[in-house]
Parts: sequence; C-alpha cells; structure tokens
Amino acid sequence: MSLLEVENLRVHLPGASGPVTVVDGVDFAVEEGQVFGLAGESGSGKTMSALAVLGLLPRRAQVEGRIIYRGRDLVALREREMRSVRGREIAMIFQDPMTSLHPMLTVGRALSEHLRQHLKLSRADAQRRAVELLEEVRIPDPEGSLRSYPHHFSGGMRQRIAIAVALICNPSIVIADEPTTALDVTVQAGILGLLDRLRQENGLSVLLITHDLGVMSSIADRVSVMYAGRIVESGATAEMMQRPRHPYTEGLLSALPHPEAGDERPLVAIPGSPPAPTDPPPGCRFHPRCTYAVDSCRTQVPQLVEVDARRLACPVDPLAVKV
Amino acid sequence: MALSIGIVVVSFVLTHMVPGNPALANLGQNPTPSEIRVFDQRNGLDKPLPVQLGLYFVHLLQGNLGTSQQTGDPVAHDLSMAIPATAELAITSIVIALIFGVGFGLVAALRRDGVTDFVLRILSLVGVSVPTFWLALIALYLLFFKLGIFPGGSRLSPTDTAPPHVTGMYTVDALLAGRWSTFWDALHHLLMPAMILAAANMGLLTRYTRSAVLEVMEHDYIRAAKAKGLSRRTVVFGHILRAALPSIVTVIGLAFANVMTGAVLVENIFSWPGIGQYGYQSSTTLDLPAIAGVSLFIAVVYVVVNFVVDVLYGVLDPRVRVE
Repeated sequence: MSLLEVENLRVHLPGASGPVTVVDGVDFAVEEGQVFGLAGESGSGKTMSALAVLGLLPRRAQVEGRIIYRGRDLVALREREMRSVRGREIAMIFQDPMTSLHPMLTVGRALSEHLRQHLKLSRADAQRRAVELLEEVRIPDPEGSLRSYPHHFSGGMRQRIAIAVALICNPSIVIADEPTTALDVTVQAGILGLLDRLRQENGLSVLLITHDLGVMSSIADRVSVMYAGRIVESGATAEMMQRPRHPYTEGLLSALPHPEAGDERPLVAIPGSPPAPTDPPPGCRFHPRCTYAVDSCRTQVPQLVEVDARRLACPVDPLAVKV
Repeated sequence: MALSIGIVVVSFVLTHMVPGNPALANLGQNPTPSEIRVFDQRNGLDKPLPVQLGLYFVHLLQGNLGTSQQTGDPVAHDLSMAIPATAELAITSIVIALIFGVGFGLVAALRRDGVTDFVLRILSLVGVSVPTFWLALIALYLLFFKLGIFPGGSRLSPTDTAPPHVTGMYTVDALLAGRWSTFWDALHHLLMPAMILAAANMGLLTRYTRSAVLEVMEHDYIRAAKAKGLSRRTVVFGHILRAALPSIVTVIGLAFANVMTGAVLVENIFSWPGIGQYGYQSSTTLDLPAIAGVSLFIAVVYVVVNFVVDVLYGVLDPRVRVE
C-alpha cells in the first residue's frame, strides 16, 4: 500500500455565486521514498490538492473524497489530531522563502518551536538538533544563524532554512509547493539537489508541485499532469517526458525550451488560456484549446484509463494520430 | 531638540498674538488705566513680543515657566500638580483601551464576518463616534446619579485626605503609604472617567488591531506556522499577534499622547484637577504663562511618545533595528 493515497478528492471554495469546484475528482498516490509530482498551470488545482492533504484550505472550503495516510483518513481527522500530523508526519515547503518565514522570529525559533512541541525535546536538545539540520542544508555558521533573522539571508539560503524547518521533525512526507520557482536559476539546481539528497539519505517521500516540467523531470519518479481541477495524464516521469500522450502534456512540453538540443525548434505556446473555475467547459475541459479535439470531446468527460503503464484521460492518443 | 525649540516659539507667539487683553480678562469690569499698567508690568506684557520671547527662553532654561496670573503660583508648580493627575487618568484609560481594544480586534479578525465580528465592529464604531462629553454626561447620570455605582467627580472622597506626595498619582502614593482604603477610594474615583476616555481609543484600537491582524493572516508565514502543526494559541499569539504588534503599538502611542493632552472635557466634567482642566481654565482667563506652559507640555508629550514608539518599533521588529 502507498504511504499516501488520495482518492476522488474534490475541493469546493466559497464563491460569490455558490461554491466553486477547484479540484474535481483527483486520485494520486505517493509511494515510500519516492518523489511524486503534480504538474499543471497556475489555477489547475495542484496547490489546493496539496493544502487539502494538510487540512490547510481556506476557511469554509469543502473537501470530499479520502486522503489515506498510513491507514488513516486525514479528511475525517479532528483539528487536534490533524495538528499532530502537520509538521510531524507531513511537512510543507512553500514557494516563496521571502514570505514563508516569520520576519520577526529568529531562525532558531523557526526551527525549534514545532520540534519542541511535537517531540517534547528540551531547549538544549532542540538547539543541538537545529544546528545539525542547518549543517545538513549547508548553512554557514549554523550556531550563529540560530540567533539571526530571516532578512539576514538571501533567497536561496532562506529556502534552505525553510527546508530545514520542514525536515527537523523527521516527517515521512514533504510537500514542496513550487520550491524553486521564486529562486534564481543558479540557485534552483542547488535546492533541487539538496531535496534529492535529503530524500535519499532520510528515506523521505516528496509530493512535488510545480508548473516547471524541467524541474519535474530532474527529480520526480512519477508525475500527474493536472488541468482545470482534473488529472489528465499520469505515469513514470521519464516515459511521459519522452512520449506525452495527452494533448495538454504534449503542449506543455512543446512550450519548454530545450537549450541542450541546440536545434531551431520553435517554442510552441498552447493557444487560449485555462478556463475560469467558475465556468468550466463541458466535456473534456481542454477541448477548446486542443488541436486534436473531436466531437465527443465537447460532450463527454474522458475518464482516466490505464494505457501501457500509464493513465490517460483522452480518447485521442496524439501518439497514435501522429503515427 | 530643534523641534522642541520651534514648538516653544510657535506656541508662545500664537498665545501672545491672539486678540484679547489679559489685563481686561483678569481685572474684572472697568479697571483703571493705572491698574492695567501695573498688571502688564508685573506680567512683563509691556515689553515688545521678541523681548518677551527672549525672556521666556531664559527663564525656561532656569526651569521657570513664569507665574500663573490665575493661581498666583509658578506655572512649573501648577504643572507638576496637574501632570500626575492627568497621567494617572491617561495610563488607566489606555490600559483599559488596550486590553479591550486589542482583545476585541483580535477576536473580530479571527471570527471574520461572523456574528461576533459584526457586533464588535458596531461596538468599535460606536466607541469612535460617540462624543466624549455626551458619553460622560450619560455615564454620570446613570452610574452616579441613578445607580450610585461610581462617585461623580474629583480624585478622592471629601472624607479622605490625599496620600503623602511621592509620584502625585493618588493610587500609587496610597499603595506606597500602605493606605489601602485610600487606594480603593482613589481607584473608585478614577475608573469612570478613565473608562469614558478609553471608549474612543478602544474603538480605534479594535479597528486597527482587526485590520492589522487580518493583513498578517494573509501572509504565507502564518500558513507555514499552521503547516508546522503549532497549537492554535501559538499561531495566534506567537505568530499572528506578534507580527501585528508594531502597527498596534504606533496607534497606542498616539492614543496615549491624545489622552495625556486632550482630556479637557472629561477632566472638566469630573472636576479632575489635571492638565486638561488647567489648560481650559488658563485659556478662558487668558493666563498667558499658563497657556504657554501647557502648550510646551503637550509638545513634550508628543515628542517623547514618538521617541518611545520609535524605540519600541526597533525592539519589536528586527528589520528596522540598527545594526
């Protein structure tokens, strides 16, 4: 059984004219020691799915479906029980390290407050562990850093600190929501390398959320691509990157620059823009932007079906069409 | 410093340039020209304004603020009697405003858009908009005249005597002298005017705290604090209120300066022998040295309060600390 299994997850947010469905029947599983990726444009529901796992959705959001972690359904947990899961079992790394650390609290406090609450460590033990973690994420002068504030560090260093904060209680899953998007490209590789190393050393599972398929392909084992609240394709990362089978996945990949290829292949943008969650198109939600769309796409919602060790929600297989 | 000098000059010149003749205001109806000449000579009013200003500065440096025409005592002495009375009132009132204002604002923000929020917002609106004198008269009528819960004015019961002068604040002096009955009597007299003075600031603080807390709650670092599984109490007080504190402190500083200097109506209604009453009496009798003294005091209060707020700002927010 998987470490974390999300089954038929639906998230409705309160809107001006009734609830808006931002996640519409999503299934995925995070396996022990693996990196599972959720890809998609902003607004596709990937962050909402992740926040649902931690029970951190905005107020008055409704969640349906099951989120099974080690045999327990997190959706059904009480707030108090959920607090012992957050930070301790499932931790989170946020997108922008400039805003995800409290500006008025020291790095030492950020590292130790939940550590002491969850593991009941003494002040001295918590401090020792905090120094260890800062060393592990390669922060220079770990001891001195405990007394420093976030604004003393650069963006990349802050994200390292945020990673240390997430990992200090030894969680089994880390949710990383666009962990490199706000960083310089030169810093990105360092952070990704760090995440990958920590995962291997600590047997950590990662739920990686990103719109950047380049980032995805460098560390994710399996990936699901989301579009307008639904998963359209999932499978092993390498396989999917080489042979995308959903028109949307293919579109995303064509929009990705390949500097190493060095050829004259132009970048192809997907025409149009994603639908507003308040007014999704009927049938396949991608059909208004899809070059392969056939009549049935406009009326029938394609189901995710198993095709060659992959799950695909599209009746038209672009590979088949091209061949 | 330069600011203080400027304030002295402006307040001195303005008070001396107002139309109105101090001699006529003080000597009753139809004084003889020689009486007026004697009055003007005694009070230095026969000299040209620049000379008067120069003399004022010289005396100021010697700690001499001139002699009040009304009380016949040195203004410095009058102020030293009035300031503790006002300070006692202002401190009590700001503590009341702070406890309820910050408490209400925090609760309103956490229960945003609920019934509690609605009721507290109405309450704060009422607090801000009800005229103080009206509130004072209504409170006097109900709590003193009808119900007899609080005494109707002055600092002590006629049967009690003032405690030995140490700070000039009766509650503190009574405690220092170990006179419990005097302490309770002084507190009893203090509470109603303090609450009335607190009403407007309580409303103001409720509104500011509410909006400051709501703004802080939007930040990623609050979501990150929740994602660490911290208890609700730690998130609310250790993270949310902590981040809102600097802006709340600014408002408290201004509110304190206001009640220190602007308790004119309340002090007059409750026969409270403080700065407000002294200032009111000296302006109605055109007691120029007293008016200049009160103006100087007001200026000093604002300068000191702003300085204290700036210092507190650095203590509370590490980002504005000078390193």
